[in-house]
Amino acid sequence: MHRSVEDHIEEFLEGRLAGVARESFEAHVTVCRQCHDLATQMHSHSVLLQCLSAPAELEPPPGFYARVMSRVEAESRPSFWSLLLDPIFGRRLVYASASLVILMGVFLLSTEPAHHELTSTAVHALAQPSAQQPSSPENIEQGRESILVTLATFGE
Amino acid sequence: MDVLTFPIAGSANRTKTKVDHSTSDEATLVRRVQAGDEMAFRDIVERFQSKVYSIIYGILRNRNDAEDIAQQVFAKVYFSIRNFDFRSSLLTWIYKITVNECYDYLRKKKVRKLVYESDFSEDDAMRMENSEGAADHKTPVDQRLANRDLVVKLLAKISEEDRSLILLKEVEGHSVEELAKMTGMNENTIKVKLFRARQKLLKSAHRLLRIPARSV
Repeated sequence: MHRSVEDHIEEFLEGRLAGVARESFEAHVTVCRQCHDLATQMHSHSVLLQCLSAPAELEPPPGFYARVMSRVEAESRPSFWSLLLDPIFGRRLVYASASLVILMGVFLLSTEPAHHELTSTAVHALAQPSAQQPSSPENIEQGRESILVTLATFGE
Repeated sequence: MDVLTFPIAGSANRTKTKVDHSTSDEATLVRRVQAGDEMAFRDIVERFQSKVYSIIYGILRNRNDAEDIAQQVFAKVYFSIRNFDFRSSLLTWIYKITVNECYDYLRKKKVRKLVYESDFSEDDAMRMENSEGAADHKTPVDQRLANRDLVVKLLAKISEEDRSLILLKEVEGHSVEELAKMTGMNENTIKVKLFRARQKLLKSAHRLLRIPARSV
């Protein structure tokens, strides 16, 4: 759009363009197709936009202020999520959770029967045959000798 | 080339409420609210409630939604008024909040056929017939509803600031001079902003209606 039309488009749309400005605007849009089309389209939109005006000045139903204040009060109350975001509350929540985990751990350890610890483990299974062998001085001696034989023959 | 018809001043139902220039009175009221005076807030609600309700109803054409959004607007005013910096008039500030709330609502609900799904009754249609200009009587109600739908969609394509400015100009009927006073901007800035907003609206319309954009 050309400058002369752009400068006066608001007055044109308001219907307040008069005098020399109007004559110059009119003369330009008669010869300039681009400005003519744009001014026409902007005028159509200006008319179209007026369909958004309310039919008349409307009043909300009675008790509107009270309802606004109820909403203000409702929105002033801290929500669950805003509580979580509060740093002091968050720190307390972390301490409480940690204490709970420790307490539960202690409780579980203290209530677990001691003899159950190794029953199902491989360590216990390995430990069983040696437990069956009597730890007599002869057996110990035999063991020691077999170790010495193993060591002596290791290099061969 | 067709002869361009010049609009006639005041022909488009432009006799609207003038801006209240007694800013000192408004400023005092705002300062009282900022200081925690609930009676002053009540004054603000009572002063602007019909304006806010009408703006919302004009955009959504649904009384229940208008009531709900109007409550939300004033709740927002209550919580944000401490940030009000007196650069624009209180009405302009509330107007912006109102229009933004309407569009937030539309975005959330993803209303496509806004008007057809609204509670736009026969009664409303009759009232609309009687209240609008003589030229508008020639437009069938269906066409007007489709136009409204189009306008709402087009306005969704431009920025919040442009939207408020265009609505204050075209729907509320404020002149460039009044808008300059209301917003605290100078007249040339207002003109440039309005012109750019109009261009954006035209581009959006071309895209939406798939018309080749020649001159925008």
